[in-house]
Amino acid sequence: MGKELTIIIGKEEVTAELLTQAAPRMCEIIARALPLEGLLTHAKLVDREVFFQLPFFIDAAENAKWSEKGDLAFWNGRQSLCIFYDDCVPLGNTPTFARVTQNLEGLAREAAEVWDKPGKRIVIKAKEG
Amino acid sequence: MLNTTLDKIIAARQTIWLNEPADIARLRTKKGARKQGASAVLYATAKLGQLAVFLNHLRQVAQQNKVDLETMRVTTNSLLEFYAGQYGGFYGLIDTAQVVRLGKDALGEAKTIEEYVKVVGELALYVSRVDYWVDFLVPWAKFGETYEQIAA
Repeated sequence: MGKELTIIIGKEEVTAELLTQAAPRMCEIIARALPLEGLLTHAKLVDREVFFQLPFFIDAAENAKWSEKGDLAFWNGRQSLCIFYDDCVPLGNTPTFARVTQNLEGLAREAAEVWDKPGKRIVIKAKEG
Repeated sequence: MLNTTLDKIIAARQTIWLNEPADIARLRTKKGARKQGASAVLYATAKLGQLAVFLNHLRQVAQQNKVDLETMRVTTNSLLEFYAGQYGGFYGLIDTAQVVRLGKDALGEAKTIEEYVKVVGELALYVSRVDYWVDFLVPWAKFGETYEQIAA
């Protein structure tokens, strides 16, 4: 089990696991930058993806994969932390650094609302305890 | 000197990170053809996205290849001047235009490719951030529904 993250979105608290084996450098950069805070935007082409910008690049592109629901990935081109909250067809392989392990349903409920109401606040921090 | 200019770009980005930039209120007042504002907002996000993508690619090219600083500087300056003129013109994104021109100043002060990468990266972060804010102005859900009704 890698280091765990807590994602706070709307009324939901979600747990994710950093993929320290598959993406060690990405995980290190993310872990060092915690807590991350942002305002969510919904993807326009991918049906079930939300994202927010981080104030840095991650040039270490590791674990590029076809995203699945529950994946947390980073698109360096627009410095975006992407969250795939349900089944969808991604645009391509994306470097993936974490995966939701608890309360994906809650995340999906809150993230789906971003399509109608963008700008929802999200916080990602190290899980305590 | 370079660090002072870079600090100004970083400070500008931090100011708008979680607070709506003043430029957004200015953009909201702009009306395009038939006195509607939608095309102003849609074109603004397109033009911000273009520069963000160009800057990211230039940054990658400079990082991954043996390129000479002067060619990169001349190429980038041309893009920065063009987009600064666009943003500060019709769209009223005057703060954004000013920061993009600060980027030009910073490029003039860069002495190495590593410094070039730093400047272009900071500008990319800033321009992307403004684009995120402009994207919030587009009512994508209603726009999509209306489009489907009309296209049906």
